[in-house]
Amino acid sequence: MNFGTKSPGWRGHMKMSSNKHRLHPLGILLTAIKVIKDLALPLLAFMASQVLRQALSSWTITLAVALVLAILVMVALSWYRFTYSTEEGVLLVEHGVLVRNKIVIPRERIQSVDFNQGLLQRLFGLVSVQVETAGGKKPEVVLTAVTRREALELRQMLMPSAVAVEHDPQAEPGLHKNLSVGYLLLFGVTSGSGLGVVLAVSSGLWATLDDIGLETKVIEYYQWFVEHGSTVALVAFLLVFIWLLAVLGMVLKYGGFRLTRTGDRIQMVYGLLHRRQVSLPVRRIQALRLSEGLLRQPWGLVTLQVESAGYGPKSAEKALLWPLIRQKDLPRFLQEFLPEFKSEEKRNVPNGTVGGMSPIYGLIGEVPLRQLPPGTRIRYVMRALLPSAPIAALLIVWLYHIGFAYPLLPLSLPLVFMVMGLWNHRDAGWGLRGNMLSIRYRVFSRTKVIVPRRCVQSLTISHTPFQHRAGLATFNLDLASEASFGLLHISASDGIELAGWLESQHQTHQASIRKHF
Amino acid sequence: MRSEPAERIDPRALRVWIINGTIKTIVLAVVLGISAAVALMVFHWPGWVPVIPAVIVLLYGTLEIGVLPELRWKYWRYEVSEEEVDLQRGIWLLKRTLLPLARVQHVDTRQGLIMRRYGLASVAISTAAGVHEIPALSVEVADELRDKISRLARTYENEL
Repeated sequence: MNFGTKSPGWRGHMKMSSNKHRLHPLGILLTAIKVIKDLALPLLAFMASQVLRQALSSWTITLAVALVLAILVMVALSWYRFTYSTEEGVLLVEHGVLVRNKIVIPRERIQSVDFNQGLLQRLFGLVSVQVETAGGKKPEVVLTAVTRREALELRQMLMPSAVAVEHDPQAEPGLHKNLSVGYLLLFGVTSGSGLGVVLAVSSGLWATLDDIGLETKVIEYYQWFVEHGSTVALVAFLLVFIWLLAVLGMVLKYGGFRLTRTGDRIQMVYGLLHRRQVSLPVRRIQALRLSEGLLRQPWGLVTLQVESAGYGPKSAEKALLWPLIRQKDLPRFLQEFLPEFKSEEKRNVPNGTVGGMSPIYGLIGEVPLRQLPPGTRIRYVMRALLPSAPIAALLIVWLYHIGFAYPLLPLSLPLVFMVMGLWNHRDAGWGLRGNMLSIRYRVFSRTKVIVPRRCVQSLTISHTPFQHRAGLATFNLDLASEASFGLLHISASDGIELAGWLESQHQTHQASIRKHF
Repeated sequence: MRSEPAERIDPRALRVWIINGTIKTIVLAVVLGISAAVALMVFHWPGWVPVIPAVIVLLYGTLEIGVLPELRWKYWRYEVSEEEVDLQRGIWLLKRTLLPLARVQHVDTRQGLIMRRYGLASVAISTAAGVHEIPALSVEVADELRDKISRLARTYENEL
């Protein structure tokens, strides 16, 4: 490095203030609101309670005003210090009031430039630009308030290839698919969250009923219900209302869902009020997740998620690829949007799992799953059952003690767990075809994960002495998305086959290397 | 696959683990001892209460010093072939991990204070999903292994 004689790039940056941009001034307001919401909400709640108790002294007001002012000043200062510029294919961000930071991101390292729009931002035609780099563990740069035009320019500058594909009418007309209103509503209605809220609220009500001072006898509850018919109706109405609110929440969050595939990138845009955009290169997808929630499975409905490496604030981000699709439409959907997830191994697969020398093509949705060995059912059931048994026993003893009318009620607990164990066993399975591994398991909702071989970072096969004696093993594989998938109690020989599958990828590679040298 | 991996780790690992176990036991004994003393003198708990931490320390010490290091060493195996790293470890749950060399991002050797005293080093193999460590090899073996893995891994570099 020769700083004395020549440092054109660096000096250049310092002088070229014309190229430096600040965020839109409304960014101050947006950030201030966020900070106040995050930091000062407890304080505001305290203030509100003071107001309600009419105990608001003048100094509390002064304090609150001072606090808000301080926040505003700090935010304004940091807004003033925050500048970004793009030069020579580099995104340069400078920020920091006390400690000055400089972030330099070369264009080549940028993986996606996504736009987010909150309600306020939409009102003023602003977007929040999120710049992600490959392999980054945190969101690299977030520009909270940029005008739409500037944002587009920025993306044009930082991701010319992606933009070109999107706007070139000659290129393949970017595949896209919009979620219909019917499916959106179905998605909301069948989501667990609504039901969860209702359950939480009703259990809260149950506790309140106890507080009212009724004996813990179901009969008396019943009489009470009869006597207070209108109240019951009101409560029911309230529950339905809360549930509808939850559904509405889902609809607002995922409304207008649009999936686009342009070239080797996919993009998901969704949200009725807060418009979110998630985009990622297909090759960053580590696994495809097809999950069937408890309320969705009976209708043959599937939710699609993708696991991607090094994307999003949490490194192990699961992105919603498509909210809801019917099982029967799935193969065509994947064919259209993620043909990479077909297994395209032309070689014969070793160990004779799939015979014949002809190329093995086919959608991964069709990978035949093997179930677990028959002797393992009892293991799954016991595993689910055993922890619940002592809890149930304790509960029964306690209920006897307090003289509850139905002391054996907790027996249903092990029963529920037993059914869950049976279910988990029935739905567990795995299969190989070509370069794709598919694993299905159930934790409440049934999930099938499809992993390309090249994404398997490591495979662990383990066994306890008990498993060993029964010829069983457990397998687990780790992905770059920091997710880990596996199954309990596959047969030991299947474990060996899995290891062979992971190894077999190298045959062609080694051959090519030897030829090369 | 699937005979056991060929290589064992260095027998001196045993000594390092025993020392580590001793240190951990002493720390545990001190912590529990202080809590017991506080419980007795400040909160006036009954006199038999300190028996519990004593038993805990005794059990922990027996396991960490007397039993586990030996077993851990007995089951630890590794092997590096041209395609993958094969690790076997565990006492009750015997784990066998395959790391394709094509996924290896980088390899380090690491040395703690006690390990340095015995001329040992561990080899840490990083993939995008995490780090796997071969715990105690002689420094020469560790260096050699590190170079071998990184050399082999490099042949895959142009793969995605």
